[in-house]
Amino acid sequence: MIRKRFKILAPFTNIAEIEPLKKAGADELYCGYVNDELTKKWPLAFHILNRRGEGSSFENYEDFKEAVKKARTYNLAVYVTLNGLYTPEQYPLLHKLVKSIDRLEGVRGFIVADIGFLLFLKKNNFRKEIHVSTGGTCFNSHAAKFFENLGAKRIVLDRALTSNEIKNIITKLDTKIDIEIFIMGEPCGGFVDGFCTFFHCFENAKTWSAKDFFLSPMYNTDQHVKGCAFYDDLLRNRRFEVFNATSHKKMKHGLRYIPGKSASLGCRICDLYDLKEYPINSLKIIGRGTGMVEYVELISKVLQRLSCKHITRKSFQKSCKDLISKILFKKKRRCTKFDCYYPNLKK
Amino acid sequence: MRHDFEKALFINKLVNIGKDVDRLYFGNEFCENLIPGINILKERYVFAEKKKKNFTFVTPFVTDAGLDKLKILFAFLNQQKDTEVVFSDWGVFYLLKNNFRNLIPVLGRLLTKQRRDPRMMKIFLDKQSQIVIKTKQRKIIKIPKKVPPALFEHHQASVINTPVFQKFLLSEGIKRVEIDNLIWKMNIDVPREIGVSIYFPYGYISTGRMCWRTCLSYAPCKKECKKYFFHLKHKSLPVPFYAKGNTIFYKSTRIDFENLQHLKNLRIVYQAKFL
Repeated sequence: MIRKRFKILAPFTNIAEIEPLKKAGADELYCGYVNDELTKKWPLAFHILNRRGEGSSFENYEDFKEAVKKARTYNLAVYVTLNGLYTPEQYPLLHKLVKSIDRLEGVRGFIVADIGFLLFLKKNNFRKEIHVSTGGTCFNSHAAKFFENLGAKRIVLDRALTSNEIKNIITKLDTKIDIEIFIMGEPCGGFVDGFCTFFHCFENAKTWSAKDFFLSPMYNTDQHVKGCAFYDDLLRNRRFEVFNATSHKKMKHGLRYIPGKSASLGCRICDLYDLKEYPINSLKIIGRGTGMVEYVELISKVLQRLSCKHITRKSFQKSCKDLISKILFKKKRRCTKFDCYYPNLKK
Repeated sequence: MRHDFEKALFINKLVNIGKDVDRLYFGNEFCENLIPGINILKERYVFAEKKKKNFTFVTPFVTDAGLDKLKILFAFLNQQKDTEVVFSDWGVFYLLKNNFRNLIPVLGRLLTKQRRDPRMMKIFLDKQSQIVIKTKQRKIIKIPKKVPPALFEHHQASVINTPVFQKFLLSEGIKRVEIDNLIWKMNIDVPREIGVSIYFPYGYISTGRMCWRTCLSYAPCKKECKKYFFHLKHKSLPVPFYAKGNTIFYKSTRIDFENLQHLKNLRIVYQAKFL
């Protein structure tokens, strides 16, 4: 039965989301938690403390504790995302934060990206599991073994891997490390999460209107809030010149930005058919702070279809497309190949 | 200005090498498809040997298929003396550690995790007292939030400053780390046993596996990066931005040697072109 094999790991940002997520089919949850001491020095908006901006993490310990307690009553394990890249001056405050999280029974583990921070957690004998986030950039079986040797219980494979590459990793792994893959969500501008150093600044949506979305006026800047979107914008508005890679001379060109081919669902649901026989522990849905109940419902229904004995690839793909139309778009919609993760990597 | 640093030149083709160059770099950090064949690697190695230069081979992040390609190259390099391999993937390091003990591992700049985007400079400078937003109907004036000084300090540093990580690197035999030359003052604090290499003048900002979007080809890889690159232009860019293949670079024209005085075993890796 497939449903037992793939767990659905869903994001949550407040206590009210827990029950709907459980009903929709979530098996485990993850969230961010930071405190005032940290955010005063490194505002959440700048994606320093974890890889999300304002409004995506718990910022009050009591709220966080209550939410973890509630998740426990629904038998949902909670993982806390601390996937920033930390510098030494942050460690004393992070130490205090981790201690307060470690006390909570309902928290099963930490999701980390920084090896230094992973080593710090091990050195200080914290009891929770350690999961290496996609920010850890695991692209191969050797990297998974490396992280397992450091004490990781689970590894999140990079989202830019194709299903064949994922199968390759699993086949070559002779260890017990748990494997997690992304299943749904924005493909992060086409860049590898763990290697991207583009500036991001997401302020709380309450502080500015929707039309200001691409600017972050409260932090004194006319910058795009999202570096990769800014890059897209330059391409879209033809703010570039093309040069010959060898001679470095300016070239005439017919290159142009094609709208729609850059925006995508970031979906790899169809891949599940190929991956169903592989021991992948969990499917991660991204979107802390954005409410992902519908996505969880979608994946849950997709997994139910996948568990049918006689389902073929073709009928599974059709089911996926129908479910996406029905649940996410509420109307008939055609998938395009650009909805998929990294279409140019696919054969 | 400091002169007691090692000078490395990142080469792609066989070019004239100045006498003051101590070391040659060859390879690619950003794309598995650009891992060279064994014959080209041998040719570059022999060239370095003839010129009496040390040799560093640079490797990208890779899938298992890429690891297989690298094994062949490492088998050759492992037979040579004092060859460095820059790794951008912990799986490649695992491979080196377990199978190619003669090679000297160097932590690549993809793994030293600096915060690099030059556009942050404008935020750190924090000069505006108010922000004016003009819409069709009206003009809105906002008082900006203050940027805490700790944010800039964080951007000046890197994960390599963390003592527990440094201890780990040394215990694993990693005695050199590579970083980019940021456009703001850097704070790099590593023990004297760890050497630091700084790439100049091109730093990377982001990289991926999705060339169709970054170089507007919308097709499977045809090595567009070998054919053309973009120079990106916008008033908000404090320094030039370039996009080549799957990677976005910035150009920094000055190395802040004064601020690097304390670093032992400093190396500057010069790239005449982003490769």
